[in-house]
Amino acid sequence: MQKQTEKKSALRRRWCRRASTALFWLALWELLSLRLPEVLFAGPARTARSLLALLASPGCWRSLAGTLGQIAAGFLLAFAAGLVLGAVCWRLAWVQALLAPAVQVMKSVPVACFVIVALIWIPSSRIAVLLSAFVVFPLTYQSVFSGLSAVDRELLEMAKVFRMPFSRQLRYLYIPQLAPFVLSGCRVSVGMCWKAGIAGEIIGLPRFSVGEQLYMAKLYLNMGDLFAWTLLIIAVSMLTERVVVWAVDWAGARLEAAYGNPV
Amino acid sequence: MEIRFEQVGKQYHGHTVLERLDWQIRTGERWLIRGVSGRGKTTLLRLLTGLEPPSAGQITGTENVRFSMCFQENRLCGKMSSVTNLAMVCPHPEPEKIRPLLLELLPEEALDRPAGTLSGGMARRVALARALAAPSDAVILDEPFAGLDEGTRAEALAFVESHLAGRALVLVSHELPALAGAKVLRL
Repeated sequence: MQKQTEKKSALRRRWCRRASTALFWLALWELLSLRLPEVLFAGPARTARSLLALLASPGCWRSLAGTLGQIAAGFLLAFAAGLVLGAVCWRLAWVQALLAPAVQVMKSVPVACFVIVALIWIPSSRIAVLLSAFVVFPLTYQSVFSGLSAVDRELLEMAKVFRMPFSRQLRYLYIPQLAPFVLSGCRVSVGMCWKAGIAGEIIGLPRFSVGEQLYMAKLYLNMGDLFAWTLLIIAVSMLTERVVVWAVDWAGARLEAAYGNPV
Repeated sequence: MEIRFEQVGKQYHGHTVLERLDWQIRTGERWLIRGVSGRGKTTLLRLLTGLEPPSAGQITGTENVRFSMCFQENRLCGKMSSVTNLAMVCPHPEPEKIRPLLLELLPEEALDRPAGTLSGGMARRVALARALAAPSDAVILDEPFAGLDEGTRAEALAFVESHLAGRALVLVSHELPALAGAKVLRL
């Protein structure tokens, strides 16, 4: 009973903290909007109005769906490639040495430079796929490689002595070690691929994309729409992060179930 | 089963740990390995189980031998329960066999706790139980009683005796336990 009361009051405290944080930032936003000219800065009320108008228009959903599709395709392709190549490189040092320069280039080249070159090679409608893949691949690759490298060597020796089949080693030694690395890689890469994908769209201006909408809003100095689109991107990015983390968790659980708990 | 060490030697970075060792183990034999620290007792077990190749000589007869081992460092999966730690090394694990086996050495509340939360002595006993629960031809125990008090040590020794079931035993221990019919190899 006492525990339940404590739990409730902790929950209330958490909600109070969240609400007061939100209020603080809203107040600051409002204050700034009062001080700055309307043409340069949209306040919360104007942004909310623009957001409602956007959500009511079919064009908004088409643009969101277009960008989401492109980014999801890039993410999935790069995630799969990162998982496979991360594991291969962990196993084969020569493949790792071969891929190292390419991974380094992906990590170091600024997205804007890559967009300019990429637009020469591919149609602008595919730029978000390529850019999100460009950002997600090195992160996934690195997290898989680091996760596998962190598997306890002593436990692997134990598995060798007991002749544990590889499926059990995967279930008991590799997946538990790898999961936190992959999850943390996913969390970072989902946000990054939205940033990179939309940056690419703003330069490439593919039709029916969020990047195009942002560019148009900027062109007409429609700050309400610009801020509303930004809020939408944040919301969709957070939502996709949750979906991806849930999917990775779910896949891990399914994999465990497939190999079965021994008792 | 007949494992033969012929003139086996092992060096690490130019430092000789084992030199010209001749030794044989057959099915059902019990061996106690003795020697002061640094004389290559653990190295001998690593050579026997194939974790390392010898620097000189040859080891024959290990190809089809299944080993189970209690390592000096326990080597348990800390996030998994004692029961799971045993089950993962058994090809066809049956909870109705594993739980009673563990209960011979541990209190019931320790069975489903993550192995990482067990005391040193309890974790040691889980590692020992795992070595005896796994199906094998030879059981290798590296200082299995380290960190156990006298009473628990006697219990653990009785546990080893009762679950060997005709398998070969190689036991490294500083103290010579009263192991019936055991031969001694001094290093």
